[in-house]
Amino acid sequence: MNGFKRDLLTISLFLAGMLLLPRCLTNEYYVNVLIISGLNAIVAVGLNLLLGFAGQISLGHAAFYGLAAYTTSILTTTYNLPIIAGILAGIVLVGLVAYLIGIPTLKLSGHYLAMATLGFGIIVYIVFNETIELTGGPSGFVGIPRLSLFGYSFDSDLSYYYLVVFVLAIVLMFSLNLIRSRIGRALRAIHTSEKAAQISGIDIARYKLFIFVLSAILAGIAGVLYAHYLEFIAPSSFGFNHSVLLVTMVVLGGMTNVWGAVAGAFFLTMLPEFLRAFENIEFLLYGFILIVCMMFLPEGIVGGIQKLVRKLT
Amino acid sequence: MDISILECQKVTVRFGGVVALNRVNFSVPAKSITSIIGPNGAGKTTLINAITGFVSCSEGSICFNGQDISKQPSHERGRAGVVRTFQNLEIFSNMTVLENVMTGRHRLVNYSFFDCLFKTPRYRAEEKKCRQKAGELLEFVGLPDRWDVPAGELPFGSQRLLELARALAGDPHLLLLDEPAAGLNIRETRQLAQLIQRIRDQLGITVALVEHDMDLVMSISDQVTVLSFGQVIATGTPLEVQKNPEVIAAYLGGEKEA
Repeated sequence: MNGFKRDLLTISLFLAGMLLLPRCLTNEYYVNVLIISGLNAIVAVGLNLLLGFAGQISLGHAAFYGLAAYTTSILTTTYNLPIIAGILAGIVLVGLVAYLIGIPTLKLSGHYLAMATLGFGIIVYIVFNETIELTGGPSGFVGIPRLSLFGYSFDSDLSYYYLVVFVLAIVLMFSLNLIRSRIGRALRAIHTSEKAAQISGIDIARYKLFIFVLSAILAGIAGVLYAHYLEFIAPSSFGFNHSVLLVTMVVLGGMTNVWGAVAGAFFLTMLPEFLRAFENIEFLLYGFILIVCMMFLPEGIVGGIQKLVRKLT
Repeated sequence: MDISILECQKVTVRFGGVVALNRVNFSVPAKSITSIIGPNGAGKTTLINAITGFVSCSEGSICFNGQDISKQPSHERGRAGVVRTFQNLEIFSNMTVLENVMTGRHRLVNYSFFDCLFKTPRYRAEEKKCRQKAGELLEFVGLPDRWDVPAGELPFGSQRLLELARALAGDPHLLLLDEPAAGLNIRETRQLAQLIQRIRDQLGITVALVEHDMDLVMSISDQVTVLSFGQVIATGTPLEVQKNPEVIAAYLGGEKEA
């Protein structure tokens, strides 16, 4: 009960902070950066459930993100389906695909999931590029309708930002609830000792499959929101590099904590914007900051902050 | 005492060309404390692994409460009530002491995915029950405090007790202990002997253990089975086994008829 109240308090504080944030911004472009950060955070929180809690690596989460984005884009633009139908179809399809990949690979122990998702990501990337009639190919897919739900159209960036923050808050709340339950305990058990988990009656293949599908679905939710926000998508946003970036967000933020993924996602999405002023040495600095963070914050940003707080109190 | 809770018949386990267990017949009478002893490499841990499903047997049957479980995966045997501890501790070091025991109760905590997403009253009630039971068991094994500490920070002896509490949390019918006294000092071993007896007497759980500490084995066992080179060479009460010439030969490394 105590943990639950603390979660509610932190989420409320987070929500309040996020809602006030745009008022402090000097440039409207930054709202756009915050929206993308929020979407990355939704994917990263899902990936963290898989990676940080269940200990399974996916190198194809950008493909799930992209698959949902393309599905809703094609259905709503080419086939003129209602947005809500496109969104649901995108999310369901991603869940289904993850399920089909997960069944054979998650029965095996070892790094088969990493291999399978790596291959899957590359295949999806090729399909986005090559099926030009369907996806528009490398030059991208244009003319996606802006999100409108139940008669309300999210035309302004600010309203879209509030929507993304709202979705992120719900995802966070559910993730925290999940972690503090028998399901969360089972996932963490699988991470440390598969043998002891089995003896406790935990069907490890089933739990791995469950959390893999769930984290893919979260990537799908972010994907459809991305497509209906930018109104334009291109394969380059969903390649292997982005999958690795997502894993980096989770690791850099701190894997033992749900909030770590949020910190990592916002940090790594906003960092290039701040470094843009340095022009030529932008990438050099980016790499340097990553190395320094991992050297001095081995438990991630959130882990480091927790340690600092414990030292001070 | 005569009804067997576990009945292994002609269990054979092969690792490539090596026969680790050769047509082993082994039974555990209900509500007994049964020990498996034997020289190093005799196949004691392999037998426990076969019973709990960590290695598959190429021949033979393993009947638990009258049902053949030899083809079931480990987690289903765990749910049926066959639970074990490990020689090299398998503690969930990333969880607190209390959470470790609560995880052991996994199969008995009854709520769905949606119950935990929305923290329904059912979730709260079940979690409370689980936490209470876990606390009781921690007190039972002798870990009355430090429940919120990460389990990896406990001293070795306490981790052994924690693993026992976690195993008990699933309300097992048969508890298999793989060298529970390894690494414990004399005082801790004596406490362990009492604890094993209390598990049988107060909780009514049948215990089977693999152990090298002969004082412990002989003082608490109702029945002792001796393995040597993958074969059962003797079964009986501690006294009978101690007098058996084949057992003495196996331990002293002499000839069979010596």
